[in-house]
Amino acid sequence: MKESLVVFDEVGRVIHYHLPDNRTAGAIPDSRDLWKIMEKHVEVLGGTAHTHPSGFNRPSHEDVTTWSATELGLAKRFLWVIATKEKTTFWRWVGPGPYDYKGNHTPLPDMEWGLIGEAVDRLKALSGMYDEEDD
Amino acid sequence: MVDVIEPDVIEPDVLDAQVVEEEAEGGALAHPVFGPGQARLNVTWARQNGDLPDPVLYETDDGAVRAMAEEAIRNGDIPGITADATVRLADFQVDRFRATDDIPYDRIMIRPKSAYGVGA
Repeated sequence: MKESLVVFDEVGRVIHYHLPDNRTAGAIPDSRDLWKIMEKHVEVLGGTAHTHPSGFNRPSHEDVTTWSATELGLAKRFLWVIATKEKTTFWRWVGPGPYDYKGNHTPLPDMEWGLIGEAVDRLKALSGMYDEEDD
Repeated sequence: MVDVIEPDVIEPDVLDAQVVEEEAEGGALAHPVFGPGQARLNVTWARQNGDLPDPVLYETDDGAVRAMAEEAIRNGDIPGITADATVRLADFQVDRFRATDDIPYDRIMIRPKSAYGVGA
């Protein structure tokens, strides 16, 4: 299994699946290409979803520092999704500190959960998180 | 049926070409002359991007580069980036690019990092 990431727009439509060869079960290394894609689509960018094959459904320090840097760099707040095999959680900055993100199980009201849900399901498959009997 | 926007991968050589084009539009800074060991420092902050007018040493460590860029943004010293006393580049990535045939000077570029997970 490998962590994987999808970039989606403000209504949950897929912009880009990020599946670098150097990703592992526990990490997605920094990528200038990923940053450039997010920067290019900033006007419609809604956020990212990434998988945690480990099953841990909270963000790592690396996750929240990347979320914070992205939002500061693009001057815009986003929805950040973490998907494990069993749960999907939605994280948003609540402040006041730069790493103060709060998670819950409900997407933003103006997000189309159906689109994000389909993208997350495909992301889980791309991460190798489904057993054959789940198909 | 999911409405999927065409996946979009930007190749590194395309990125370089964009940099050249952006710089060319700026006019005077299209081909700066830097001394040995010097580089152009480019910074992305708050959806703005600009170059520090003064060269920096290419071998300057990442922490010092971030501090230098923060100070410049606080003071409004980077054309294209509005002065911002709240600037915070602690979690930004420092990329380094050697001179090429197309871009004949070294560059250091600061932008938000994009790593996820543990120990990425």
